[in-house]
Amino acid sequence: VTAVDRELVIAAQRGDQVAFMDLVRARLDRLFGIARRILRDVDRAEDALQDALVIAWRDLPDLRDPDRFDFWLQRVLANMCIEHARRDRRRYSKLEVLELSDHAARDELAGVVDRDIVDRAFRRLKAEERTVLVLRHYLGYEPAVIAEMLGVSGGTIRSRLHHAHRAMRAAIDADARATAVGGSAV
Amino acid sequence: MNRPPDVELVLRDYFADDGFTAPDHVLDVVEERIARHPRRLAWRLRGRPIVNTYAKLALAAAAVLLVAIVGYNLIPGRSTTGGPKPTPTAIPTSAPTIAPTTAPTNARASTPVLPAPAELQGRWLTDIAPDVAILTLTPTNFTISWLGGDSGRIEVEGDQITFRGRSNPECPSGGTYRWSIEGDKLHLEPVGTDPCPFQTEWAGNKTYTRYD
Repeated sequence: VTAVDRELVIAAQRGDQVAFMDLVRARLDRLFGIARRILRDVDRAEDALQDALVIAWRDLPDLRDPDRFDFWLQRVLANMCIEHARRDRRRYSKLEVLELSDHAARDELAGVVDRDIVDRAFRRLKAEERTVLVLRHYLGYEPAVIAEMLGVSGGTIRSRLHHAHRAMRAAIDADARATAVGGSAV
Repeated sequence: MNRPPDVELVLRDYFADDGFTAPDHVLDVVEERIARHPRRLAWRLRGRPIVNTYAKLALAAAAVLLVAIVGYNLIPGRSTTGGPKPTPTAIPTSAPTIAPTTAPTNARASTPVLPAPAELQGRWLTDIAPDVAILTLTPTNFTISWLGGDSGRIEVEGDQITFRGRSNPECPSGGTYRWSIEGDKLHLEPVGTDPCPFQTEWAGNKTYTRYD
């Protein structure tokens, strides 16, 4: 957080909505990227981001250290994404795998793995596991930081990471085997 | 045979920035929502004091004074020498309106669907994690501001209210709740099972406080 941002955070804490919107505007694409990666759906990501920002506005006076604004805001968003994903799961419990919404993103990963394979495997994970993967591999946070962000133990985060990696690994391996015998994995 | 790629590298590629930007209307919606979001009221609902020390002292003094006056007037014999007795209309008029326009459940079939009674109309507020929910009731419509929000028609029959939200295509017949008002509290209790999952979250066994 820059010195200017710090002033904006303090102003926003005191009720300055313009300052809050300035802070949010500068971070919007990044925040939207987090929500979209966790929820894998543009519309739901928009809803979750909007709700998270309203909650952030409401709870901003609770933030003791303005320098931790980004971390705090990402925590609000990550938890909101989990909340939205849980609600969607209840509402659409019969849908195990959702249709792809990011068709533009269908290409090859690391030159080897089809994005659809990774995408399908990723969508099958629980919301908590998807969130941990995004925080780890998109934002680059260490497990201890993720644990603090989500309010759970480090062991829980390591366990979620382990399970998520294993699930992704299994999906990729299955694809590799299918390719090796000349079949199509998709 | 090629060695399968490292899963962490695959994930890093998968999450790599793809130039997606947030739609402009996200900010517009947020700006509009926070402009009408009762930040201070939310604090109060969450149990945080919003009054300063002097205001608290003044409120405490006023409460003590009120108790003393009421107590003094309740002393036997005081009523003959005290000030004018309160007229019957001084009894809070909310008493008759506290109970919904009573209609026994077994008489529902013959009870016409009416607009929401006056005591039901207005804005009601409650704290449902992770946000404050604001339920606005007009004679024939409702709006709920909570998470994604919803709005639609209401039908009131006696002590039962049916919400038919526009965002609930999976339950066109809506969900029915028994309502009761006690003081400034509105309580909603499901009648049977509400087929609308989102509605259940903000209406099922929820108690709202009158906001205005």
